[in-house]
Amino acid sequence: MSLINQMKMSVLAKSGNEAFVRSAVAAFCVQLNPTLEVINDIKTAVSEAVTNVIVHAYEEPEKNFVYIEAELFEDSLSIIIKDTGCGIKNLEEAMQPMFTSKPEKERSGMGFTFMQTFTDELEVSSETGAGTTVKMRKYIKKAEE
Amino acid sequence: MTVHREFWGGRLVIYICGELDESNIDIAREEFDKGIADNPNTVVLEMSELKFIDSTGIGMIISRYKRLKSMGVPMYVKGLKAQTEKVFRMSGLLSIIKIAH
Repeated sequence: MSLINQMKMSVLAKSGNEAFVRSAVAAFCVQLNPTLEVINDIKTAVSEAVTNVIVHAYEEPEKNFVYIEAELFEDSLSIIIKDTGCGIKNLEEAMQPMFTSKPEKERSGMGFTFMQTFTDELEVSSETGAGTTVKMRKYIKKAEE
Repeated sequence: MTVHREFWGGRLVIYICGELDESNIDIAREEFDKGIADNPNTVVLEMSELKFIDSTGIGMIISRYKRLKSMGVPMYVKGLKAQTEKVFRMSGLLSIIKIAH
């Protein structure tokens, strides 16, 4: 499947940037004319990945970056959300539905589950002290012309 | 995101509008908790103007739902739209929280 378009951006890991990032990624794939449901799924999954960076990756998130890359293919969008933060010690545990390292903050522990549910492929890699990379792919159902 | 509440005859209605995420969750949480402090006998979460929610919002709502349940106060959700309805459904909340029409 041939690559149509590519996008890279980085923003400070501030919670106020979440809406900007999810809207930017959604706007980027509009050229494929996706359904509203697909756009909403992408926004939800991106928001979860960016929230994780803001909440977990850095001691000083507002001074560090979240890196976003997107690649548009004829039938799908691939999204990478990356940080250079602390990494996840136990990835298997972190990806369990309802698991949260911050229950006192009323975290639902559903971030990775939502990324998985709202996209078609999810791959997470993490190295302690080096950072975490989340790769997602969403197949694009086209809206009726 | 804007949030406001109405209290009338023991019925608390929380209106959450716009997009709810990590950047504004504390504001929504605070307003919700002020409403609960008035000791309502019913709580309605009015979301017809809410365009976006993620797991941060779901965590905040589940926590209040549990607290209200332990107080014996029923909580209803009203006005779920495409994105918010799907997030509620996928998180399993739709099977525990009642929908008000």
